[in-house]
Amino acid sequence: MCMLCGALSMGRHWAEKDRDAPLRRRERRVRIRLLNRVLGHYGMNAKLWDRGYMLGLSAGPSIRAETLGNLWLEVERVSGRRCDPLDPVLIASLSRASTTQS
Amino acid sequence: MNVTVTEGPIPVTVITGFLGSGKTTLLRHLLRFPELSDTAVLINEFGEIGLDHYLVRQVDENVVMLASGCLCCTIRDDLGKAMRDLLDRRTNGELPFFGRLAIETTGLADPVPILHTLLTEPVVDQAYRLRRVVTTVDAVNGDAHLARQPESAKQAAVADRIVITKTDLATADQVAGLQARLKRLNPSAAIFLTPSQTLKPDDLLAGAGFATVDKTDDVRAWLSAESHENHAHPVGPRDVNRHDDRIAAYCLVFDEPMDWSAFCVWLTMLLHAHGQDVLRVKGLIHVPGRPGPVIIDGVQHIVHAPQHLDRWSDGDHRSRIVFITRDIARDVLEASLRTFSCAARAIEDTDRDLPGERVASAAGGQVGGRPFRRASAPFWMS
Repeated sequence: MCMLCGALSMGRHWAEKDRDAPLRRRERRVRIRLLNRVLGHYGMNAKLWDRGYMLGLSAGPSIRAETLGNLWLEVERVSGRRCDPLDPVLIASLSRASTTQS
Repeated sequence: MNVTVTEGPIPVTVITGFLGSGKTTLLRHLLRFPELSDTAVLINEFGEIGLDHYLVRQVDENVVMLASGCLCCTIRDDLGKAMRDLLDRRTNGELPFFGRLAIETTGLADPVPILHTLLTEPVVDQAYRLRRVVTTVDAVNGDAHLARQPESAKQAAVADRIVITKTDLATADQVAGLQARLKRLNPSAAIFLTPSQTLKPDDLLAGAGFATVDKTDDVRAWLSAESHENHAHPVGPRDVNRHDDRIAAYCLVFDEPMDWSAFCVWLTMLLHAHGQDVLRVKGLIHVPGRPGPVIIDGVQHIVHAPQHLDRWSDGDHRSRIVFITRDIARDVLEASLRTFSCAARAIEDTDRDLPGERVASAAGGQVGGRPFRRASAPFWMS
């Protein structure tokens, strides 16, 4: 259980199961930045929190998501929009951001 | 038969197939072999199997021992409980040792809930490990089942081994046509024909399975991109009313290494939105910074813990991922994954341009020659 928020821990999600700790730390940094690019499309953002994520709208309370697995459910619930990586509008938005950055 | 002492999770084979496709006949055939002396089998009812000829002794109302040494057990309440009970009774000596488990899905058309139990139920997810899914398909009625029954197409799509049964009751053309159709649905599943081939237990139950693969060569054996390319499209126009025509198998190949975070974010999002239609995803991924490929294996919403191999078997380090999907076009899926991968690469490139910031923020990094944080700092401080 998290001593800060009292949340019960779930078993490790497959996307978090990694023996190589330094690599995992580096990948989590990239992950959170990529997540924020995707979540920006839904008007939301995310921070790493304990072993999970803290999701937020620009104005409003934060919501905890234990894993990547249930993060998308929470995003849909809060944003009221469907999270679909095959959405051509999302794909176009991510492509533009990558092109602009490079 | 040498008894295999299993120190790790007990490998599990799920035997599924449409009603009347020959699952029980297959199981009865396999149970005669002494090689299965270290196997426990979970079935719904003893009567369905017809075990009288093979019965040696009845352990209790739910467990019998067969002449081969195999244990045969009924699923009374639910599968998870039955699997935990078996384990408990083996541990405390009530049942003889068994090194593997076969589950026959009589009356259950969809094998995915069984896989869900294997991967998510407490104790079961640690003590057992899915090795493979074996699907029986009837040579006489298989075509009709695949066309009209979505469960039948799914059973074939998620299989690692497919057994076409009753080939003696069908014409050679029927068998060849069904075999081609199954190959198109699931190019990487090995197909056996009975009774024309005499199956041995090792054909179906032994060998490296997806969850236990430890050699890149094993992975390549089921990932041959060529076979997927050749079988991706049926001859002639697709009929959306035929369930298997809506299913496509294809292999995506990536020359550049793929960021693991990009893949995880993308796949979790894909399975959230389209999990029901992603019947199978399996592949090996070249992740930068890792000595060997990462093996990924999933069935709909269920993804096995990825395996991180410690080396490549040859110089071909391309990522190759097989998808078996329903109503999802290959080009749409591929464009989506490439976009996420490019986005992650752009983020990494940005990070590389700011070395000072990177070092200062990393646990174990240094600023001005002095440690910024202890290397032992918890990972979430990164």
